[in-house]
Amino acid sequence: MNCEEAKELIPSYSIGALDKEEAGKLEEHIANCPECSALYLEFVEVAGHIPFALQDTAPSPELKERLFARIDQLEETPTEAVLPLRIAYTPPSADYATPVPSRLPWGFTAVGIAAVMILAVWIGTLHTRLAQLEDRYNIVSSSLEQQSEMLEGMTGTATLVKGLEGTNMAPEAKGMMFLSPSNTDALLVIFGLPPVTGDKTYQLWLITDSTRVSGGTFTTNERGYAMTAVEAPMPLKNFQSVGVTTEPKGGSTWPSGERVMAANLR
Amino acid sequence: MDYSVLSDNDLLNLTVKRDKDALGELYDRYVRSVYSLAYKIIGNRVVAEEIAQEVFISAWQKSDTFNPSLAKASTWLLSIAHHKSIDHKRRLSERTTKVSLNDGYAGHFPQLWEENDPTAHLWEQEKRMLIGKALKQIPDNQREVILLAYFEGMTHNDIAGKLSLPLGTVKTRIRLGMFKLKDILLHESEGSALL
Repeated sequence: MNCEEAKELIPSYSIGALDKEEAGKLEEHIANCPECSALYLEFVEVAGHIPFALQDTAPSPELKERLFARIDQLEETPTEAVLPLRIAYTPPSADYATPVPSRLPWGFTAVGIAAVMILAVWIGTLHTRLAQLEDRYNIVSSSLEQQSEMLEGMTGTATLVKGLEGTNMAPEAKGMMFLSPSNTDALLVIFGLPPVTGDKTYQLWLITDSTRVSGGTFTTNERGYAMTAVEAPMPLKNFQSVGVTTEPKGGSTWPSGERVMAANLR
Repeated sequence: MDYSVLSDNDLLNLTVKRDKDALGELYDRYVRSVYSLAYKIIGNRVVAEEIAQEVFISAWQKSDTFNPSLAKASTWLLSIAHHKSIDHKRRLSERTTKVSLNDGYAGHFPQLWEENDPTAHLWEQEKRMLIGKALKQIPDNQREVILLAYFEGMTHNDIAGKLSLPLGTVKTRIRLGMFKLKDILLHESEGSALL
């Protein structure tokens, strides 16, 4: 890439509009060209001002407290890497038109091949026992085929399966959580939980005596199915139970809606 | 020490020395902008808070890598927030942000800062006003593609597909729009510390 080509792309690069290949070539050029590097920094500064045009909103007041608690935790264990984001994987739609990510981005070390195998056996059993669940089986089988790519290369260690039951708000709901108590990640599979309306979402909570930590939000498809990756801020053995509530779209910082599912983790 | 009178760079220097109060002051100054940006891109309050938290943890852990001769502290923090948010959005291959063409990108910038925001500091008010004015001065079709790239995380190809435009047109609009934005900001900021 020469300077002329680089200068054409730098404005786009500063706002993230280049694909990976273009960005790579440009980065290589910028690293070796002081003139283009200077131009790039000018546009970074311009792009950095764009967010200030937004009508800003405040996060929850508890965020600052959580931030410094996290920093205290990091200070106590300085070699620990920053935890990846605790974000739920949105379940695929019924027709699976949306490609499933090829792998879980935050290193799904705790739930490995064992989870896939257990899930497959479990699905097979359901299929045999309950013919009326055939459509659900097909959904999960399709999903498993895609999820196997997600889980490829992962190693399973002491994976436990915890069953979730629907409360009287969702008596038909069933779920399973695949987890390793000493790790922070888990896989949650839900069946029979009716989809929420557009302004609502389901939210998973990791529960101790004193805290409720979000495990992420998810929605179910029209068949009541969802598969969600969960990551906790600390090993799951520290949590006593999990719950699922309905919350406003976007999720809440503390449970506010009806509890629809629950499970004891101990 | 009264941290509120210190510059951003002074606060980052103190953060390098593990001064949590300095980080707290930086947090107070920029958390709304960081969180708002993440929320605008992701469209999920919980995730936006997680990203905001990660941004300030990065500031705590990597403040020694900040070079004030290359960028302002606010640019650095918001750049981290932008990268984390876009990275998350692309990873999930979702397009769930509130921002869309239907929100009026083609005609005006939505949720623009209002001058009567009583919570903003004076310097922040001036900055927001200048940025808002600058964006409004860019031609609609150029502003549209810039905002789709910045807030939606769309690449040239994504935008061309979404708007049914030739790829070259998208590239040209972004380039012209960004150069114009740069010129406007430089002109508008004369006498201020904007750029």
